[in-house]
Amino acid sequence: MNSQNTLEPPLTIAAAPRVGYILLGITAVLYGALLLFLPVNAPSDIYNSPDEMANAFFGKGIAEDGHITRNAFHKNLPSSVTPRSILRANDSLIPVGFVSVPVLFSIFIKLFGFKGMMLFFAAFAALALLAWHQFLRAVFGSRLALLTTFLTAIHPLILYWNERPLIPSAWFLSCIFVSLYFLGKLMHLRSSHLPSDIGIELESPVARQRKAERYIFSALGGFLFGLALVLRPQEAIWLLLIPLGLLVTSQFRKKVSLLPYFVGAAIPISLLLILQRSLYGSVLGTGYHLTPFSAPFLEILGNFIMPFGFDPEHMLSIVATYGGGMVWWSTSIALLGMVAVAFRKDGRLLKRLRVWFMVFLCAAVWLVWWYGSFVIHDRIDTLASIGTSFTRYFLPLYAMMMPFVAYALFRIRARLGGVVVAIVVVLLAVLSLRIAMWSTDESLAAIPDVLMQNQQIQKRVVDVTPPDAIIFTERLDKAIFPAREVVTRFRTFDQPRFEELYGFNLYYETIADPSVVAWEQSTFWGPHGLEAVNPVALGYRHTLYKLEILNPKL
Amino acid sequence: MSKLFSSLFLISFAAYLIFATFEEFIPGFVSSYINPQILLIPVVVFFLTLLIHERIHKVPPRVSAPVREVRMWVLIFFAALITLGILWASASELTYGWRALVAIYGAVVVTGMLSVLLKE
Repeated sequence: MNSQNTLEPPLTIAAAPRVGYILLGITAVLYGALLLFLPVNAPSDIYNSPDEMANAFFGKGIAEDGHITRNAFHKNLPSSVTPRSILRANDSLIPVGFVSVPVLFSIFIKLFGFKGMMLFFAAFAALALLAWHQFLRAVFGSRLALLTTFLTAIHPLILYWNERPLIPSAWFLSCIFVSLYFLGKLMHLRSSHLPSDIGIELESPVARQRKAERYIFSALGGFLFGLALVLRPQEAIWLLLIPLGLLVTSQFRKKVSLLPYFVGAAIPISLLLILQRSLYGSVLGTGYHLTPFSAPFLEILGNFIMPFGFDPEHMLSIVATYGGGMVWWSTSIALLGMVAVAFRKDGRLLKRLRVWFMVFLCAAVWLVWWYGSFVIHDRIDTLASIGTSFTRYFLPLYAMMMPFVAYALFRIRARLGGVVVAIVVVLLAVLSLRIAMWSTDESLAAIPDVLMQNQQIQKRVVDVTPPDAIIFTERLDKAIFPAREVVTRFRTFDQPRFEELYGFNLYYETIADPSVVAWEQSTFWGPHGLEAVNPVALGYRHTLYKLEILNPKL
Repeated sequence: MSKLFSSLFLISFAAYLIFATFEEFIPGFVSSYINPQILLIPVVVFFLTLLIHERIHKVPPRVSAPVREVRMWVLIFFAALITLGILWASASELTYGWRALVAIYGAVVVTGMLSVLLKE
């Protein structure tokens, strides 16, 4: 039966409209331009999070002299004198986390300069969007691919984290997109007739089997996959499904040259392992833990599988908040798409969407299992927001949900007509851009103002403190360091830790009211032998206190 | 039966989108009284029922292809225009250049999505 006779209005189209591709090209260009919002508007040398500050600090430093560890500005300070995301050991500063990130940044800074690197990232993200489309086209056909790509381009969290490339989460996703693009090139569908799926038909691309192309695409696919892995090695466990799929599935083995693929992947991964060995003394050592792997095997395994413990209630709240509440308009339509996929008749497209759903489910279960019990203190009010780390941890899931949103929109169009789907699409676009760009206190429009405020506070701190000052601060380390030395984890210090610092020129930065500081004096500073005195206003509610030793004889 | 469930699905889905949109613009509009996620329950119930009960029915096209094509582009034009207008009006926190870029970007993406969705 001709599907044109089965639907009103008919959906069956073998190829996407040409205008769709033209609009995709325009979208990619505008997307790249939009990603320059922060680099253009934000002040330089000041960062929005400690991770970004640390990546910029080490990236610039390595680009300058080639050394990964940086000499501490002041010698013989205790190891507690350090901002978040940086460790101090033997008068050297070492990156927390994976050393590959600042090293890669340093290469780009060397090639393009710091601002140029931001331009490069914007261009790379726009190209990755097109690569994502090409991969989806090979898997789901041209129409679903086009729609999914538009949806990805408008996804607020993907857009948001692409604006902040010093956090490598979106860059990681872009590398995966490009890696999948090369796999998609290799996995061209056979040119035999493909049956229609209730009106949505797959395109039938021509199979290509040239040997050189096969080797090159396999090697590039592997290299980009390896690059993604070294940007976020935490994702290795579920991402390894890709090479495992290559090995297990005979169709993959036939179409992908395994040796070039794995050699390509091995290049960045082995570079990371070499760097880790040179820096931390062990190929598996990272800045997350400097201790050698001498713990019992079960303990290491436990840390590997459940690094943040197991808290089912917290996991559920994370799923509800970041899966449902944060971008409800996208998630609710994706759920409709998943239900529709489950209930429709069999067909090639639906089978592929079901396989896609299984991969999505595996990744979702793993990521929620891994991160779901993580208690994050990104914000002082602990509220969920677009800038909370969970939104970037789950970026791959948001991207993988998009084909289901696209499928649901096709179903809505078929069931409810063009006007309804147009309303839904307009709402999707408006709500997505709104939250990404301006509607919350962490949306992109708010960031330049916050950074300018932090820059003024930093200037004021430098003006009112001597160069050897050590400033206790819980959150402003990202602005104060490296202009001044900082201590951030002091709330968890025991008494000996405080006593190590008694001989230094100590200050305390806070946004707490004087009454709260007076209360802290009796409950926190006093019992630790310190007294917060001589408040100096830094602006924007921030105050700097001098910390005096209560009993100088100590 | 199927029309009843189609209508109920449409009404509940539209109600959910409307309330959720209001909630976005006026926080507390719904959540002060009920958990807005509850509104999704009728959507899911009616959608599932719809999928189970309703069969694809044959309705011959009522208008010619060129007319449908013109209607499609008129709809896309208005959708893009509305997107452009809403984004321009509500993005007052951005400077003019960025505001224009965001509005145009939204309109282009909406045009792209609808050109794929509505093309016959």
